[in-house]
Amino acid sequence: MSEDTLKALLMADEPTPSPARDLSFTISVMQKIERRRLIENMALCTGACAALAVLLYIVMPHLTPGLITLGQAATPAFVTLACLAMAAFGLYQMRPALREFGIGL
Amino acid sequence: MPTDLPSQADLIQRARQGSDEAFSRLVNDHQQAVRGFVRRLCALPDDADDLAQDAFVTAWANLHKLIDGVSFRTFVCGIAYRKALNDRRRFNRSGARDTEWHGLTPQSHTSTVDSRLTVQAALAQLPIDQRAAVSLCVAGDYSHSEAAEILGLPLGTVKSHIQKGREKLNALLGVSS
Repeated sequence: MSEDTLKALLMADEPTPSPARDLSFTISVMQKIERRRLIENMALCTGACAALAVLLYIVMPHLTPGLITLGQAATPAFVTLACLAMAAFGLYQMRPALREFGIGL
Repeated sequence: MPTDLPSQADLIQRARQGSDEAFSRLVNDHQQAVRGFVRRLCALPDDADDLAQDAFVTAWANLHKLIDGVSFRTFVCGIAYRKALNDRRRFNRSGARDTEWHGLTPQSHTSTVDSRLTVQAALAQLPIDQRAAVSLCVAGDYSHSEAAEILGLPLGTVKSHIQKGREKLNALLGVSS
């Protein structure tokens, strides 16, 4: 049997020949790619969250006393700043009414 | 197909940069060749299509490993072949599904029985490396060097596989060479 004959036999006996461009096949491939991408992204996010949680678990016992001290020291300043910000915002919102009384801000 | 090369290179470049549209066009362009090759490696068409799809997905993930000068079709066929080998080893380990993989019941090698085999069934009787080499170079239009690239084998080994495969096919089909 020559090579050409064998080639012809193999070509003739091809199991369910696939079409040149099968859209459903391409869609299935792209679906699998999207699924893989989703899994990779989820794995990345889960890993990042786990790493952050571990980092906080290690670091927080050392940071907490310092944060408490800083918080206690900074509380009056924070309260003052918050009051000033609220007053400024109130004045900003009251500008049209104050303009009626001849006060321009 | 030299006229396709610039277009293919452009598509590969865009796919590497993350373009799904470019990659889907590559899949569209090469799916027939890859599916044809894989269908000769595994007898069940559904298994073959799953394997071909997985090969394309792996190719997408490893697109950065595609060397310049190697066609996308060769790259994906190589991945598909290695997946088929792994599947084959897994099926062989489980043993019970071996006949399902071949789509055949075990048959004796007497010429009277073999003469009734279809060409495809005779092809399935060959070892997977010979089957792949014959599928690529005799049934397909791949060069020997392309087949060597796909199968990850030396050129001489591929030629030897083709020769042995052709002889076995002739014997199985009961046709004199």
